[in-house]
Amino acid sequence: MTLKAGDKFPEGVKFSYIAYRPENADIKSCGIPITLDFDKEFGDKTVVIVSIPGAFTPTCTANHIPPFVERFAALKSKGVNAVIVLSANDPFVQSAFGKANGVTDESFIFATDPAAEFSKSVDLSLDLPPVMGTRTARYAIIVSNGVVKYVEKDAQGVSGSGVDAVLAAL
Amino acid sequence: MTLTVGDKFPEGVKFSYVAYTPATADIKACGIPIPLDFDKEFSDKTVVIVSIPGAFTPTCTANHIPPFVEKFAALKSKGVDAVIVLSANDPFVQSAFGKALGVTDENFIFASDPAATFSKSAGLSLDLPPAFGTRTARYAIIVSKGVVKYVEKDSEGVSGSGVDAVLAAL
Repeated sequence: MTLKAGDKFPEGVKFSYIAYRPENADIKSCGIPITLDFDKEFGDKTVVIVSIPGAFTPTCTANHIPPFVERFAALKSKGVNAVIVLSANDPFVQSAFGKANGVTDESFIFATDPAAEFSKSVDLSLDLPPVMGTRTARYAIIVSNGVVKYVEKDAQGVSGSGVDAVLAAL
Repeated sequence: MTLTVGDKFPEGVKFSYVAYTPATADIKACGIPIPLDFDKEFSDKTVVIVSIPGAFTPTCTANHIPPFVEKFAALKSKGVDAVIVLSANDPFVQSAFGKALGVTDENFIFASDPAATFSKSAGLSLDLPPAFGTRTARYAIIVSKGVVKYVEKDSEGVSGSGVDAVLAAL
């Protein structure tokens, strides 16, 4: 069932991620993945989830995520507590992608939606066989105190899922 | 059926990769994936295939692949025409991994075994939890003129699949 503005954010959503630590700052050193329990961490916060079909792919790398990194301060000044960049890539890849994008802030998280499960459950996944498999679509969600305030999916390019549209909606 | 020494290398094996070009040298720039047709490219050559469960993961990054990069000249002096680093990660991730390891040689290829298909068919895959899915195991194969000369799989750490063992077998 497609997620829409006004819905309660689903309960029990768990992502997987590697927390940034200075000793693992080099892109070639690895941390250990842990669970990101959405309810526990963000039940009473305002979070922007930005989903990309793949780390290190065209669009995502060039156009979609860097603007969120650049405007993180602006997002925070509008009440955002955390940004979660989501994809179906595993947490090691997501962690490397975060490092490649120069992100070291613990509130700007690169996480995995395992097997695109959460995204699939809210109709925001994408099938890209055979080389890419099932992926999370390109979308942005604003969740505030467990309620969905904004959901936009882009089938091509970056518009509703981009930082300008998200800032305008905050 | 597990691949063994003396077997003919299976026909019709196709991997997927993004060829390194100076124009897309930065880790945040993306190329376009193309098929790597094993028969067409390598049937009359000597190739070392090194497989890793995941790009940017512990062991793989720290201990397994960098020694192959360092000893590439030694491998070539023993008759190796190309090294293919294989994983089930998509070609964009593999391309970024190659860049992270500083590889620019067109004969040192970072490729995808899509959905670990080839590795599964050869008894060399690994099932990991949902964030990771089915992966290629940690192994090394030497194929010379279409015949398998060496196959070693490591379930823990790096020994038979490491560069020293491969060099000794050449």
